[in-house]
Amino acid sequence: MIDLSISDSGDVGKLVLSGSIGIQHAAQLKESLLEGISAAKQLVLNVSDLERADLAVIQLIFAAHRSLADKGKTLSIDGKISEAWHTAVKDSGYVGCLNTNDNNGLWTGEGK
Amino acid sequence: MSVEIDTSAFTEEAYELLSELEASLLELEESPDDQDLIGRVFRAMHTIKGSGAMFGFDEVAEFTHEVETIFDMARNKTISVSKTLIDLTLAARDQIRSMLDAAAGGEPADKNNAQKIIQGLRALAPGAGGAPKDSGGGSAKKPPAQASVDEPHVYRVRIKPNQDIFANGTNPLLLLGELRDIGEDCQIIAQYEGLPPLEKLDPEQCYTSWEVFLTTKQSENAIRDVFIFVDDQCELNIRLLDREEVLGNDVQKLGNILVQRGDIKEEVLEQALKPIGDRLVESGVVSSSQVKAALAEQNAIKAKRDKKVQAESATSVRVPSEKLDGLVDLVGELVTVQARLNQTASTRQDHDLQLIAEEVERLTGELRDNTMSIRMLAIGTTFNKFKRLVRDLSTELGKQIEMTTEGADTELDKTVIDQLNDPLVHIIRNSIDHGIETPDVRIAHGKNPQGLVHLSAIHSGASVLIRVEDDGKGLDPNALTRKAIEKGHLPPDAQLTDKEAFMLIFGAGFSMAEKITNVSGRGVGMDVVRRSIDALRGSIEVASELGKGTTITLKLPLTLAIIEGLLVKVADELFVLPLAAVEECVELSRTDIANAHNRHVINVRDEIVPYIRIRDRFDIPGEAPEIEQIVISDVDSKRTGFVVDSVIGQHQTVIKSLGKNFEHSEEFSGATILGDGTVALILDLSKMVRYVEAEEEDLSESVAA
Amino acid sequence: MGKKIMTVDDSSSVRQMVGLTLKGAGYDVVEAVDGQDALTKLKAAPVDMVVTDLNMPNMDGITLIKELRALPNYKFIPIVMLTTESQAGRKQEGKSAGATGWIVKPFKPPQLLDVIKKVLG
Repeated sequence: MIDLSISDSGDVGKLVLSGSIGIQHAAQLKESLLEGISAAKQLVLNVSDLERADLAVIQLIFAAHRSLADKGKTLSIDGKISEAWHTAVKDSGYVGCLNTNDNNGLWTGEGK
Repeated sequence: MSVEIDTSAFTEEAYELLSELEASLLELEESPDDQDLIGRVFRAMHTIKGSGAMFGFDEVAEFTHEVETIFDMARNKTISVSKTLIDLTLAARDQIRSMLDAAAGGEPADKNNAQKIIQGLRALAPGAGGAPKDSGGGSAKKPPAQASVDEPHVYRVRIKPNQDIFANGTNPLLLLGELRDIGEDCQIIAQYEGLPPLEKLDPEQCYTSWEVFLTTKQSENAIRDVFIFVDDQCELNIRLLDREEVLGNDVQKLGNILVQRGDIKEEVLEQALKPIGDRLVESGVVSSSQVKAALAEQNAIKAKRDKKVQAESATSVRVPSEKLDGLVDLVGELVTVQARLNQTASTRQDHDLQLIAEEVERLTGELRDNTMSIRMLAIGTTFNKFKRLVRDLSTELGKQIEMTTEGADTELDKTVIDQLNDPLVHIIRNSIDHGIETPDVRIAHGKNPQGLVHLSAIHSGASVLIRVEDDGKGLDPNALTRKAIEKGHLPPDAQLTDKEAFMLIFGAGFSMAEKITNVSGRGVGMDVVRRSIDALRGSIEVASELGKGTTITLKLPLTLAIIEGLLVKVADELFVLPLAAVEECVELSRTDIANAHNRHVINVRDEIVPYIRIRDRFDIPGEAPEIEQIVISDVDSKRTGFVVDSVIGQHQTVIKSLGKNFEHSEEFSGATILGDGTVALILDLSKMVRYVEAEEEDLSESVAA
Repeated sequence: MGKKIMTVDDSSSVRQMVGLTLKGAGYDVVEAVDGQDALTKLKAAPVDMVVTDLNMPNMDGITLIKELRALPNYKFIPIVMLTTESQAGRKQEGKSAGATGWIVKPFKPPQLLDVIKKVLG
């Protein structure tokens, strides 16, 4: 499930990915990411209940994270990063893709 | 809908694969390094094993598994293709065949033989001593370790999927996961530089490519197999990294070590490492452009062969041959009816009807040609069988023989091909046994110790010429004639031309062999050839030069069902002569007969040609006309005339069998129905000549007595 | 939760074999007798993967694959076709229609499971 909520103040957009997310949700995920980035000052991602993610999801989140970093913004993480997310990062070879900009361990491919 | 699984689908497929397998193996023997061929053998075994297990042919599957295992090693270059391997695999192929035959109710297959083959194959595996037997049943999936080589290698695998790869349900992560599974170590590095900014990114496209460093004992093929479903949807580049690249310069190449140890000089090493083409150019044997051309040719041949194999497997439809026979029968009926239509249309002088009749004639002609062409098969498969025969026989007789073929794609009617097998076996056996000498004899005569048997097929008009040439000792016409006189086949004063003498080898009970070998020399065989070729309405010609070799040419009609005939008339009787044999028609006047003193010969442009009077031969009543016609034909390489009242013309002859009652009328090969419904008999010229000759001999003997 | 796979084939023996194999490996299986039947059932209840024969009455496998790829729910799911060795042309046709992979008939259960694992995970 993809759930985007923007705080009343309009400052924080919170994107929750749960269950199994994949290519079939890619279009919706892209819309949510774009909306979250443009509507809110800060985007918060929660993948703590994510059970499965595929390459399409990895590509989108990476693209979003990269464009935030380019603009000097950060992607905050809410809750713990699920094993499913780490596995997807590792399996897709995206480990370390954000270099030094990965300030919250989203792209390490390792659980803590 | 039946729940029972139909096994005939499997057996049919297996038989087909086995004959392909044989061809591939024989080809492989000639080019043992050809990876494509090794792959083909492997796949054939693999399919037989897989389907065999699925359809309950467990014995076949288990046995085939052993062979497949060895060929997997050859595929991965763990072992090389040796003569022993080919021998054993050919034997295995025969064993599988007899297992299949046994399942179809034939004789049970020899289990000891199977065991022997398996032991032989296992002995070829590196570190042999007998690999542990695969525990029964689970033979379809081999443990991956078996396909492996001992030392793990490091491969760099580059994968660049097409952007739309998601669209057919492919999940690239699963493929990467598979790679990880076959490797001992696997580093996957995503290349995401092509990923557009989020706003421009199509979320349903794949923008990622990968570079994977895989340490594995598996072969490159195993890596490729992972991407089998997407091979046309991604760029795949696999490179085996040299040890030097992996470990730096710690490990040196063998050649360098040899140089350092002073075992060889550097120049020698360089020379040895050069491709063969370069070496040949340097030694002045060939020019570099020649090498280039040869390389181009080599590639072209390979490309062509691959294409052909592909085309054949992709576009054929399999139909039971009875269906085709039925179709041919119907076309035959149609040709007959169409002749009647033509006749009716012209009698009635109805213009409209004539137009229709012409149209029907055109279509019938096309339909006939089309139908006949469907029945046409390339003779190549038959040729391939003989490669095996030659190979086995030469080993048995201690002779060295190379067989070459030409015109394997020449097409012949299926029935003709089927019936051609036995006669060709006899001819080839004869060439090998009597024709080709043993290597020491050949050397003594200044010949290449390796004998040559050349099998060729070529179209010639409505016929196909099949030639078996050998470079053996040739036939001695005098010896043949003497032998025939000795045996009482010929009168003691017989004078034969060389050609006639050569034909003696096709006489019943005639053998030139001094000792009887397993192969030939029992005096049966070559007369069978003649009978079979007669039955096919074909003819035989022998040419031979003593000491140089023998060529036997079989001339066969393209098809058996419909022939071009020459329609002739004697009194009210109609006959058809096969047009293929007809050379010319000349007139025969009463004066001519008188001039020849009633002996049945005529002088045609200074050549004396004997003739047979059809009228006398079949006791047809009535007076012969003042001027008769002689149809001069080529019968068994001899010109012979057939005297008829008149020649009506060319006729599309649909051959009908005469039925049981007339089986003994051997001078006729069948009958045909003409447009007006009358029946004409088709003459078997060759048999007729032989009968007349035999009768004349009897006659002369009784006169002499 | 087991993944659900639909097997589409007009031959009951093939359906039976595929069904038993998949159930044995822990998948949920739904069966359909031809493309039309499959499409109706798939519209009603989604599955994770489809294994379909190509030659079937009413609606053949190629058409089924094309119809499924046009539906949002089935745009990206793995679809595997059952082909015979002699159908190289059909294999290409199937891939163009959107099939993920193929299994060459006849096959044994382990081969089927290998392919399922390859495309469904």
